[in-house]
Amino acid sequence: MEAIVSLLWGKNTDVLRHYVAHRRRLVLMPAGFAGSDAASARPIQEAGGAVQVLEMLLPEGRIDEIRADAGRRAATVAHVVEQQQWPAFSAQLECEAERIRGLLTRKLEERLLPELVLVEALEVARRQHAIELVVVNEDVTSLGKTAALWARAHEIPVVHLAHSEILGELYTVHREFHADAMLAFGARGTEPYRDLGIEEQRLPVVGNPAWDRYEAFVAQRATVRREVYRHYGLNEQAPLVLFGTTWSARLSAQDICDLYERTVRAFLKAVRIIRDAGIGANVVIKDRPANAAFGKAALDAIAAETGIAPDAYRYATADTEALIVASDVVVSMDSNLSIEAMIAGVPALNYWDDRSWTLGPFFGADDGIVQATDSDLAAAVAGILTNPGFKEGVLAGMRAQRTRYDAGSGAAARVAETLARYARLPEQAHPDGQPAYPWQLLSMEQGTELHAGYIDQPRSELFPLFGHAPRCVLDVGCFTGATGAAIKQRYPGARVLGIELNHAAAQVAAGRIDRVFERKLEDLDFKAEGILPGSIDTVVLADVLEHLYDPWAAMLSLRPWLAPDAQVVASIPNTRNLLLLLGLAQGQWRYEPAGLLDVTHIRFFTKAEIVRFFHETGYEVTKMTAAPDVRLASVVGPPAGAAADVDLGKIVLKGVTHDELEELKTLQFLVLASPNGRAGNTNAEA
Amino acid sequence: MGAAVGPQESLIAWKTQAWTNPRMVAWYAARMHENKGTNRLKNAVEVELCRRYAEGRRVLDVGIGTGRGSIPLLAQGFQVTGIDSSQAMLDRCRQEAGAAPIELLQADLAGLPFPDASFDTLLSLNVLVHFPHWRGVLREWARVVRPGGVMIFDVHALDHVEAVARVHGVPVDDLLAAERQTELYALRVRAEELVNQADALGLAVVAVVPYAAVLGGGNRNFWLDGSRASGYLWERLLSWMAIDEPLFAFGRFLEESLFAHLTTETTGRFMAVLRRKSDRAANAAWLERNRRLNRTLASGGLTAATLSGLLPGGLDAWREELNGHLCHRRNLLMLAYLCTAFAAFVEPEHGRDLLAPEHFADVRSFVRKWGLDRAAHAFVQSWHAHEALREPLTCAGVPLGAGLEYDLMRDLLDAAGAFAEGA
Repeated sequence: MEAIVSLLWGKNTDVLRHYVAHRRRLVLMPAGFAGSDAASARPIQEAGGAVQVLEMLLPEGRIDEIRADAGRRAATVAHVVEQQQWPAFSAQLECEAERIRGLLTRKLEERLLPELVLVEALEVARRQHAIELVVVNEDVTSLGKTAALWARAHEIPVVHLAHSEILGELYTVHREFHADAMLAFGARGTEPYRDLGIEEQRLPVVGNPAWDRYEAFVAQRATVRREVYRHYGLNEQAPLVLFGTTWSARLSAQDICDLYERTVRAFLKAVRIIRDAGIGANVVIKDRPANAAFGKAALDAIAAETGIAPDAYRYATADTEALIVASDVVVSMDSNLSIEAMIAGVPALNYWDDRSWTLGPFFGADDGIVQATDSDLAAAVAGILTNPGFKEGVLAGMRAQRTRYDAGSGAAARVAETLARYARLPEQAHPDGQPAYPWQLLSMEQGTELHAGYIDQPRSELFPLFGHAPRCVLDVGCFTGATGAAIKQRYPGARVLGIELNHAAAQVAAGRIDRVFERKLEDLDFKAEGILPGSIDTVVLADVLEHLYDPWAAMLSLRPWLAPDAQVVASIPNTRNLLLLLGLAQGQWRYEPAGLLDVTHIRFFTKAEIVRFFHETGYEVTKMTAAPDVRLASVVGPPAGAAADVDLGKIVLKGVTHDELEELKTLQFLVLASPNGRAGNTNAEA
Repeated sequence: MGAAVGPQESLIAWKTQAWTNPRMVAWYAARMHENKGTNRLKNAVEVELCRRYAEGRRVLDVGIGTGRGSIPLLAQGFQVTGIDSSQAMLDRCRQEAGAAPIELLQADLAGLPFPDASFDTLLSLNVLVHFPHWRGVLREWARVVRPGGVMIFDVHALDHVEAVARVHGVPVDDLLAAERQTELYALRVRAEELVNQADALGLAVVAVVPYAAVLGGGNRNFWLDGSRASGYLWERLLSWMAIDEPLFAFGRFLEESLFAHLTTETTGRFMAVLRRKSDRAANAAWLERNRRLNRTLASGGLTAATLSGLLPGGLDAWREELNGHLCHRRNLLMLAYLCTAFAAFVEPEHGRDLLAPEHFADVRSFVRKWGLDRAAHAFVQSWHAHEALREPLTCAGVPLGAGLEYDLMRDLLDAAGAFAEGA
C-alpha cells in the first residue's frame, strides 16, 4: 500500500482525514502525533485510511539495542569532542571550550535515542511501503528535522505545514528551511521566509486547518458564549476580556527572560485601571497548556503585586476557540490569538512591549491589529468596551486585512490537496520521444521500459580482472543480465544473482541468470533471501558506484556476505579526465544523457580516490586497468620516465609524467578489489 | 502606431501617457494624501527642499501632478504655474489648490509653451526620474528660467549603486535588474554626469541634497541590502512612521540632518538645485568635495570629527538632538538596525563620541546579541560536521547532529550568558 509519513500535530488530524478520503493510504506516524492514538486514528480509518505507529514497526527489544547504540555513539562523540578547542567560537561566544564540550555531550544519549528510533523505524517503513510524502508541522526541532532530512536523503518529497502564522523575524534555528515547501496560512505568514530569501513558489498559501473550526463556533456564538460564561463562572451582565500569555523561547540572545511576567503585569495593571474607572468586565487569562501545573499560582503572585485579587480573574489553559468567540476583546502579545480574533470577528489588541522590539515589530502600522503600549492599553480596552464607534473602527481595520493572514475556511481540504500535489507520482509511463534536456530523464519514471542509454551487452572487459573462477556472483545493476549470462557461459557452474531496479530489464535478466532482486542494494535483505554469510565470492559493480548516494554504505553492507577470498570487480568513470578538466576550466560541467557526465551520476572519482574509497570501506585494490578515452587518442605526452607540460589552451598542466597522462586520457578504470580482512572496522585510518 | 519607434521613445511615450489614465491619477493622489508607511516622510523631505530653495516670485512646476511641491508655495506669495501632460492630473491639482490662484496648463515637459527666461524658479518633483532623455529636458527647462534663477529636481543616484556594487562585490547590473524593466524604469545619474551637463548648459550647482536613506519601499537604499534594515522586517518598522510621531521625527532627522549632508554615494536619490549661471570652477570644486567626502566616508567612516565639518549647526547641538530622539525606544532600535548595514564603515567605538553612554550601551548590546545569535547558530550547525563525528552522528544517511541543534541552541545561549544581562 502506498503510504505517507506524517509528523502533523493532533490539531491537524483533519488534513490526514481529507488526504486518505481521496486516496487510500497508510499513514505512518511516530507516537504522540496525529493518528497515533485511538481518538485521532478513528477519523482517518473511517475515511478509508490505515494508520501505523512507526515505533511499532521495530521488533521487540530493538529499542533497547538502539539505546545501547545511542550510548556508544554518545561515547564516541564525547571522545572526539574532548580533543576540540574551537578557539574562534569560544572567543565569539565568550564561553570556554570546556564549557562547550560539556554542553555538546550533555544528555546526548537521551537526545540521540528518539532520532535513532525514528530513522530506524522510517527505514523499516520504507522497505515495506512505497512512501510518497513526508509531512511535518515543523522542521526545526529534533524529530521534525530528522524526518525532513531523512526524506531528503531518500529523495522523498517533504512538506512543512506551518503550525502557526509567523509574524516576526525568524531567528537562529528557525532560519533553516529543510522542506521542499512550507504551506502558509496567509501571505503575511510568508514574509519572514521571504526575508530569508525563500522563493515565493516554495511558500504556497493555503490557510490553517486548525482555524476551520472557527466557522462553527462563530455560527453558534450565543450558545458558545453562554457555555463559556457558565463553565468559567462569569458575570453574565459584564463583557469578557481575554488575555493570552506569552513566553520566551530562549532561542535568541534577544529573548527577554521575564517576558511572561512583564506582559501579565502590564495587562493586570490595565485591568485595575479599568475597574477603578468603574467599568465592569470579566477577565480570563488563557495560559499555555504546558503551564497548567503552576500557572495559576504564578499569576496570582503577580496579581497580588498589582493589587488584583486571585478571584478577580479566571484561569484557562484550553478552550481557545470558545473563549475567543465569547470575548469582547482579546489582548495578547505578538500572538496568533490576534489573527484568531480577526477570524472570529472579535476586536484584538496587541500589547506592545518596547523591549521586545529587538526581534522587530511583529505587526506593521498597516497590518490591521491595533497596538497598545503600557501607557494606553487600559484606554484601548476601555474604548472597545464602552465606545461602539471605536470598536467598529478596530473591527473594520481587522476585516480589511484578514485575507492577508488567512486563506479562509475549508483549509484542511485545501492542504490535503496541496500535499497530494507534492507527493511522488504513482508509476506512469514516461512520455514518448527523447527529452529536450538530459536532466528531464531524472523526473521520468524508471523501470517501465528499457533506457536507451544502456545496451544489452556483456561487460566482458571486466573478466580478465578475475583472480579466480567465480562461484557465486552478485551483479549489482545487472540490467538485462547479459554480463551474468556471459559469466555462466564462461564459468559453468557459477551461480549469478542480480540486482536491478528497472523492471523491464529485470524481467529479461530473470530468464538469463539464477535470481534477480528488484531492490536497491541497501534495501536487500540478504538473510531473508536465503543468502548465507560469506557465500558471495564475486561482486560485479559495472558503472554502479557513481550512481549511489552512499556507495560507502553499499560497500560496507556487502562485507558480511562475502567469502574470505572474494573479488570485487568494478568499472568507474574517471573524473580526472582531460576533457572534463578543460571543460571545467572553460566554465562548463554539462550533464549529458550518458557518458562521464551522465546526468544520473551523483558521485565522482579519480584514480587516487578509487583506491581510497575501497580502502576506507575495508577493501584493497589489487589490480587496476584503464579503458582509454578515444577522444584523447591524439594527445601525445612524454616517454615513460620523463615529464612534460600539456598545453590545452585554456589550461596548462605542468610536469605531467607518462603515467599521469595515461590517467588523464582514461575514460574509466576497471578495478579488482578484495576485502582487506579488517571486517567491521569502518574507521578510515588515513 | 505604424512608424518604427525606438525603445527610448516608447519608454518616454509610456511614461508620459500613464498619467492620463484617471485611475492612475486617483491612485497617485490617494498615495500622496495617505500618510501610509514612509510616504509621509518622503513628502515632508521633498516639499521642505522645494520651500527652502525656491526663489523670486514666478514658479513653474513641471509635471505638477497633485501640486504637492508648489501648492504650499502659494501661501508664501509665490505665483505658481503648473504644467502636466495629463488633464486628469491638472483637474485634481485644481481641486487640491482650492481657492488659491494657480495657473495650470496641459503641456509636454520637453517642449514648454513659455518664452525664454519666464520664471525665477523651476521645480519638478519625481518627474525627471521617469525619463531617459534627461539631458535634453534640462536644456529646455534651463531655457525658461531667467539668468540667475534656480531649478529644483530629483533623480536617482547611479554613484550610489556603483559604490554599493563595488563594496558588496556584486555587479551593478544585478542590483539594477529590476529597474531595467519598462514599468519600473528609474533614471539614474552620476554626480559627474550632472555636473558635466550643468557645465554644458551654463548652470551652477547650488546644492545636491542626498535623501531617501530610510524611505524603504521603492526608494531602495542599496547599502541596506542584506542587513536588518531591509526586507519586510524593516518595512514593518518604517510603517510606524505614519502614526508614531517620535519615529517620524527621527526619520526626518536622519534624512535632513544626517544624510542630507553626506554624498551622492550614500543614498539612492538626490535633489539637485542648479542656478542658471555659468560657473565651471564652482562646479568642479563641488564635484571634488563630493569625491573627497566619498573617500573619507569609505575609508575612515563617519566619525565625530568628519561630522563636525559637515553639520551647519555644529556637532554639539546635533549630538544633543540625536540623543533626544534616541530616548524613544523605537528610534534606538531603528538606529541599531541601520548600524548592522553600516558596520563596515562605522567603527562601533566611534559611536561613543556621538551617543549618550546609555544609548551607546543599548545599541552595542543589540548588535552584540545579534552577533551572538549568528555565532551560536553557526556553531550548532557546524560542530557536528567534524569528520570524526560523521560516523557516530549519521544513521542511514541522515545527519543526526542537525536534530540536536534546537536544544543545543538554548543551552549554548544560556552558557554564553545571553539571558543573564538585563534579566
